[in-house]
Amino acid sequence: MGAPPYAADPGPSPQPARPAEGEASDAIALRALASRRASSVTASQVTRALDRWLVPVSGIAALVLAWEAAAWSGRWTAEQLPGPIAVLGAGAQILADGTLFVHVGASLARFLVAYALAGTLGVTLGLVFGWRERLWRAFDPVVQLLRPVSPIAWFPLAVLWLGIGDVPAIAIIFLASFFPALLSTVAAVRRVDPLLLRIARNFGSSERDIVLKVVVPAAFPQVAVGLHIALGAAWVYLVAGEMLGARSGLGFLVMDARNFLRTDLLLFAVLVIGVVGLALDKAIGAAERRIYRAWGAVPAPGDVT
Amino acid sequence: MKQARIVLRSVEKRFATRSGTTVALAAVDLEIRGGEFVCLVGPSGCGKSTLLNILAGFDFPSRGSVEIDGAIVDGPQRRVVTLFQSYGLFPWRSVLRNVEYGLEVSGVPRRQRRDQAMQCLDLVGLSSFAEHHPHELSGGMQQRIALARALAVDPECILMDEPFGALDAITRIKLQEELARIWEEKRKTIICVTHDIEESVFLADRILVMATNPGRVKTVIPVPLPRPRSRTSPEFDELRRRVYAELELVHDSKPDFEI
Ligand SMILES: Nc1ncnc2c1ncn2[C@@H]1O[C@H](COP(=O)(O)OP(=O)(O)OP(=O)(O)O)[C@@H](O)[C@H]1O
Ligand SMILES: [Mg+2]
Repeated sequence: MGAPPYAADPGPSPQPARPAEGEASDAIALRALASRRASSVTASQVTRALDRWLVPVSGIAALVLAWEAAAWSGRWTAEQLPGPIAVLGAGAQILADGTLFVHVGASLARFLVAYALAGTLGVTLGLVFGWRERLWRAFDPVVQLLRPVSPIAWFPLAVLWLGIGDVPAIAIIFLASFFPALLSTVAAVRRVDPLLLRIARNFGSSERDIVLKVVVPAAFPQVAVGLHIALGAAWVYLVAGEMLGARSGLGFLVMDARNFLRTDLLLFAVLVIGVVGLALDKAIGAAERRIYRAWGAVPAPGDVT
Repeated sequence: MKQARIVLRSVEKRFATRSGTTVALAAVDLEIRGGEFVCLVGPSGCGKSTLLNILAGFDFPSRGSVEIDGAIVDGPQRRVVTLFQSYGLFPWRSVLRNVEYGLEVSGVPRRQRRDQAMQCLDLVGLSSFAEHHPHELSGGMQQRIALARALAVDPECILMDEPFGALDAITRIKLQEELARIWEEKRKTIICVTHDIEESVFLADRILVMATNPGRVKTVIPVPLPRPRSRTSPEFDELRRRVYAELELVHDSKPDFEI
C-alpha cells in the first residue's frame, strides 16, 4: 500500500512465435497471453521485488551465517552451541513425532484465554474509567502503582495462590497484557473529539447511545493499537508463565530441553517462539489495518509499505 | 412545520479567568421571529460563539434567560441543531448513516429513517454519495452533509458557527446560494455567525452587529432586499457598506492630507 500503482512500461516485446499449423486456437491465445505477461515484468519491477524481499531476508541470512561461524569457531562445544543444521534436525524430530504441535497448541490455548480475558476486561474497564472522570481519578493511582511491577515479580505469589500448571501461566500472561489494553482504552476514550460528543448530545442521544455509537467507534482505532501492544506483551510473558510448572507448551519445552541438556532442542524452541510471535503480530497488524480502512479518515500508523 | 421564536432577556455571560472575569456578553436583549434568518457579525472575541452556545444549550447564561417557543433552554435539544465550522461528521459512518444519526437515536424505524435521510441528501444534492465515507469528500461537501444531517431531524432552528469559514471563496458562494434556497424552501429559523460581511448581506433578514468589551449587540441592520439576491446590485453594495461602517472598517472622514 501507499506507493501508487505505477503503470508498467511494456518495453520492447518480441512478437510471439508463429504457431505450428493445426495448433488449437485457445493454445495460441494462451501463449500470446503468457508472452504479454512476461514482457510486462520490467526491470524496475524486478528490482523492486528484490528490494522488498531480499533486503529483509539478507538480515536473517547474516544472522544464520554468524551463528554457523560461531558454532564452527571452536569457542563452544557442539553441546553448548549447536549449529543451524543440528537445530533444524532436532526440530524435524519433534515435528515428525507431533510433539511440536502439542506444545504450540498448548501455548496458543493459554495465550488465547489469557489475552482474551485481558483484552475484554481491559477494554471494558477502560471504557468505564475513561468515560467516568472521577472513577478514573480514584483508580489511576492504583493502576500507576501496579503497572510498573514486572509480571515476573508476581511469580512466587502466583504459585502460592494459584498452584502450578495452567492457571498461574494464564495469570502471568493476563497481567502482562491487561495494563496496555486498559491504559490505551482509557486514553482513547478521553481523547474522543469533544465536538463529536457535543453533536451526539445535540441530537438527543441517550448516554447509552453516546457511548455505544460515538465513544466506542471513535476510540476504536486507538484501542486496537493498545490491543496490538498487549498482544506482544502477552507473548513475551507466555514463556515465562509456562515455566511455572506447566507440563506442556513452548515455555515447558525450553525448560525440558534445558533439563536434558538438549541445547539443539532449546534453540529450536526459541526459534518457534519467535516465529509464532511474529505470525501473531502480523495477523493483528492486518486486522488493525482493516479497522483503519473501515474507519476511513484515520490513516494507519506505521502503514507504510 | 413549526419554527422557533427565540427570546433573550438581558442575557449576560461571564467567564472567570486567571486575570479576573471576562464579560463575554453584557445584557443582550433580542427577539427572533420564527423562520427568520439572522446573521451575527462582529470582531473576534465579541461573544458570537458564546451567544450561539447559550442558544444551543451547550452553555448557560450567568444572568438573564433564553426562551425558545416559550420554553427556557436548559440543555441541548434536537429541535435546535448546531452546525460547526469543522463539520463534525462521524468518520466511521457512511454519508447516509451520518445523516441518519439523529433519527436513529430517536428511534425512527430503519426504513423510514433511510427514506428521510435520502430526501435530505437530495436536498443538498449529494444523494449519489450516500455510501461514501466523509474523508472521501471535499470540505464543502462535508458541510452539506452536516446540513443534511441537521435537516433530517426536522429541527425548528439551525444555529451555525462560521459554517463556511474553512472553505474557499467559490465553494463558499455556492454554499451560500444553496443555503438560501434551502432556507426559502424549509423556512427554518437560522442564526448564523459569520466573518464574511458579504455572506451576511446575502443571507440575512437581519444582521446583528456585535461589539466587544463587553460583548453586546451594537446595531441591528435589516436587509430588506428581495430574494434571490444579486451581489452586484447597488442596494446590496450599499448595505455591505453599512455593515463595514458599523464594524468601523471604513473611514468616512476626509483624510488629514490633500492630494
Ligand atoms: N470557556 C471560556 N473560558 C473563559 N473565557 C472564555 C470562554 N469562552 C469564551 N471566552 C471568552 O469570551 C469572549 C467571547 O468569546 P467567543 O468565543 O464567544 O468569541 P467570538 O465572537 O466567537 O470570537 P471569534 O470570532 O474569534 O470566534 C472572549 O473574550 C473569550 O476569551
Ligand atoms: Mg467564535
